Amino acid sequence: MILSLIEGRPRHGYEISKLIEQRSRGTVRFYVASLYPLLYRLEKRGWIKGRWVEKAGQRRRRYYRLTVEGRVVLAAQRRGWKAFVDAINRITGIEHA
Amino acid sequence: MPDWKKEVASRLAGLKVDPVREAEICEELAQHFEDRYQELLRGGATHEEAYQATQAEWGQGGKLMDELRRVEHMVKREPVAWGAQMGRNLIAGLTYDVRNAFRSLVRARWFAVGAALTFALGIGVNVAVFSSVDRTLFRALPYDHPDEIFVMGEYESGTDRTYGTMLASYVIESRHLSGVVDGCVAGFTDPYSTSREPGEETRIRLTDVSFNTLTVFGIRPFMGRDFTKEDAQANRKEALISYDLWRGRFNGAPDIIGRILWASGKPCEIVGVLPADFIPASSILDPMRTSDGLALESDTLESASPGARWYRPILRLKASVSSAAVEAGINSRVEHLKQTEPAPRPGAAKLVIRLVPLRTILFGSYASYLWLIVAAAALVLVVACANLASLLLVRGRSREHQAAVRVALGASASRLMRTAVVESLMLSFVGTLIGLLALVWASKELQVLIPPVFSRYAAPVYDTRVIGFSILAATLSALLAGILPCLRLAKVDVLSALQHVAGRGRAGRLRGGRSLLAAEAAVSVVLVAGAMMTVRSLIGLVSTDVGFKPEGLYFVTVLLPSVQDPQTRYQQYMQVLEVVRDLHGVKQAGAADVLPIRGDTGNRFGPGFGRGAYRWQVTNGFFETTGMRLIAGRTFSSADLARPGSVGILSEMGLHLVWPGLQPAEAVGRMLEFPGEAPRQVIGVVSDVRASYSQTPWPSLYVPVSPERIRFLMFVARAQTGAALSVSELRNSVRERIAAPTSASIRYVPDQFSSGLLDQKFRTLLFSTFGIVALLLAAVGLYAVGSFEVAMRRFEMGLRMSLGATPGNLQLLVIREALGPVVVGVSVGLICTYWAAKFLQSFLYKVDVRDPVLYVFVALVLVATATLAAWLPARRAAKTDPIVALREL
Repeated sequence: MILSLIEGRPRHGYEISKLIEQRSRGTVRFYVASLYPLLYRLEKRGWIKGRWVEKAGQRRRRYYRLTVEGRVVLAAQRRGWKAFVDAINRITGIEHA
Repeated sequence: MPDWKKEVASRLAGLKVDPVREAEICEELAQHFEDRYQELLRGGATHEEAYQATQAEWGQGGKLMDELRRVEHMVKREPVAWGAQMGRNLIAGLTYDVRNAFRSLVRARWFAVGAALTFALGIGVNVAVFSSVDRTLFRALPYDHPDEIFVMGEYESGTDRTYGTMLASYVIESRHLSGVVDGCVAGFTDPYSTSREPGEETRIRLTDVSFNTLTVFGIRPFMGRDFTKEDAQANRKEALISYDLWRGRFNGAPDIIGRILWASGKPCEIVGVLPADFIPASSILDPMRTSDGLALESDTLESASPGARWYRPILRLKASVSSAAVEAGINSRVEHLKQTEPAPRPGAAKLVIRLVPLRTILFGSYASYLWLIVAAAALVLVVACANLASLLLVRGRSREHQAAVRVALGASASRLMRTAVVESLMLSFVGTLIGLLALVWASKELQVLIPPVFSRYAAPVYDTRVIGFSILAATLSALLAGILPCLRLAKVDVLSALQHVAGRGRAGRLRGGRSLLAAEAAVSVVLVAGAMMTVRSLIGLVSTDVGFKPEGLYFVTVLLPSVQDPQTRYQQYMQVLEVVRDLHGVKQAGAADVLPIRGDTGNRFGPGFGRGAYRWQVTNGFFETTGMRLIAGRTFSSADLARPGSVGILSEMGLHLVWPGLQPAEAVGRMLEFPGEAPRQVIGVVSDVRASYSQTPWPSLYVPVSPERIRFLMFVARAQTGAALSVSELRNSVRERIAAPTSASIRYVPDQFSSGLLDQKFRTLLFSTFGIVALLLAAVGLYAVGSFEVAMRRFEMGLRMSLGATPGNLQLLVIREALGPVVVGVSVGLICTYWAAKFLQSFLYKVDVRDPVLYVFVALVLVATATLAAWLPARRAAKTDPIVALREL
């Protein structure tokens, strides 16, 4: 989920948490206690990379971007997720048009 | 407004991470809280409400701390199942493998050193051979589209016999053919115009060429300009010097253009420098002769008289036409020309024009020799790889337990194989590096041993193609040596490997190892047999009786300014003979019009005799000086010189030619009659002579020098022991007593024999080295496999001993089993040698490559070496203590 959010461009932690909340329409919320440890873990695995960026008139923020390895993992997870969703759909009887 | 940073810092106290990292986490989290707080305020919440809601972000107490601690103290571990992440991080995986292989090789350092040296030997030999033959066999000639360049020659129909020259009219005809590129027919002369700078000792040798030579080759001078047609027509003396001459003699002078050289006694302006890789144009006839450059030939094809003879011209064909079509076109025109020739040459009807690719002309005659060396070197590499494969197999087997543990922990077969391949690659690359360094270090010493066919066109070790070949050879041999051990490793039986340890009765045989030993033995037989054949050939050569005594003998050449009157000329050269006799250190001297012992051909033996039998005019003292043996009769006296037409001396083969079956003593006193000549009395018979060990002697007739029939004389002088003749003394004496010589030189005769032997010596050295290396490697392989098997079968040996086997029985058992694959390999090797020997035959002198004695001897050498190699582990087997061995069960 997080990987897909920073796929297009680098984002900082708060932005990520807001996006998750918005896109899930409030269903999924990440609190600090779960979001940041997760980001650090992904970074340790080498899937994402954080970098401090200073913008004019703002305090510096840490932006996370997807690494090459992260891209490979994301693609694999998307495939796995799709297969899973398809399987569930088939089980629950929802057919594709 | 709350101080989020302070709050976060107080909550994170006790995280125990690097302070800088802790500060970063603080800042990031504080920023998050700040953002949230501000957003809530913007949404209309009061400060208190916003603060409470932001505080809720902490979630359940302690969770953040736990999570952070877990993440921050997470160690990036290599997954237990090696290779699990292979697809995700290839480089990291390889780095790990390299590190692992390095560590394991350091642990087994003696094995590593031995294996690297074996690779160094196998690859070093091949790199050396490749660098020597690359330009002659593989690399395209350094010209523009070299495949379109052909050399035109007149050949005897159905044979490869050709003449050095051809009629200019044929060359002119070839220019009008549609398949030939316009203006791309260049002529050469050979031998070159040699000249010496006034006051200089060394000669400069220039090949006379037509103005468009570089155009035909499609190259530009490295410096300066090309010849032009106008210069040729204006008869200007110009030269393009070789790159080597420019760098060497002229120290790479930048102002070389415009300087004057002396060619054929005339000043000649240097107009340019040829490219460094230009193969001397004199090489049209022999690429091993050196040329210092090209001199402009004033004769353009337009001005050439049709009857003049030209050296074999070079032409460039259009890309789209086949040489056969052009060849047919030239032949039909030449046929037409032949019919209009006023006086047809004898045998001209049998001559045809052929177009031969430039590469074939340059290197074709050396190709089979070079390929033979390439094949031999490749066999050495095969032996080295087989040897290493057996060593790696032994090593792999002894590490089966480790491999089984890794498989049990989840490593895949491919992962295990990769580790083995990386290990083998590392060894081969280190070996290659050692080999290359050794080559660089030894290159000077090797130059002396290597015949010109290798050294002249050898590329340096740092040449890109040579380095590329080294990498390729290293990779291929690593794979070749590593593949079998890899496959074995992939098939490791985990359960069985984990249950047993070495020596405890597990099947002790090394599968695959025996086939490798057989292969090694087979290849070794071929190489050892090749070595023995070349050694026998060399021994046969140097023990050949050359018919005279080369030691202490000198060739003395003095050329005087030309004199028209034959009597004066004769007198002058006889005076030179006296000068030579009076030289300091000379014991004896003689002269001849042409010297048979120098390899030059003389005049025809007599009317009615063709090539291959010669007549030589000699002075008195000639036979005594050269040391030719007198078999019957006597040699020429000074009185015989006064009546040159009436006496003669035959060589043994000459006697056989004129009177087959006659004994030498019976021939003395007989009269030799040739049509059109006065009868000549045979006064003696002398030994046959050879100018080189491998030359077949010519049937010869020696007659006294006749003043009317000589143009000059060549001298031989025998020096007193330890004396060396001085060329300056010779020149000065001739100048003082007769006239200033146009040239004077002295050459030591044995040098001619040693330079003739260079090829044979090199071949012998090369094959002997290859043979010994192969034998050693095979022995090492056998010893390693034997030792391993004995170690693995310790329990079995102990059991056998406890059941009553004697140490002798055990020794015999081990040796018998070790010799099995060797015998198979030797048999296969002998068959291969029998088949391959025909390729070696043409390089050998008086050796029957199918001699059964030789084959038996080679087989015995191999079996004896193998027995010795197997005996050492066998002795160890015999010393097995049954109690100790059985206790291990």
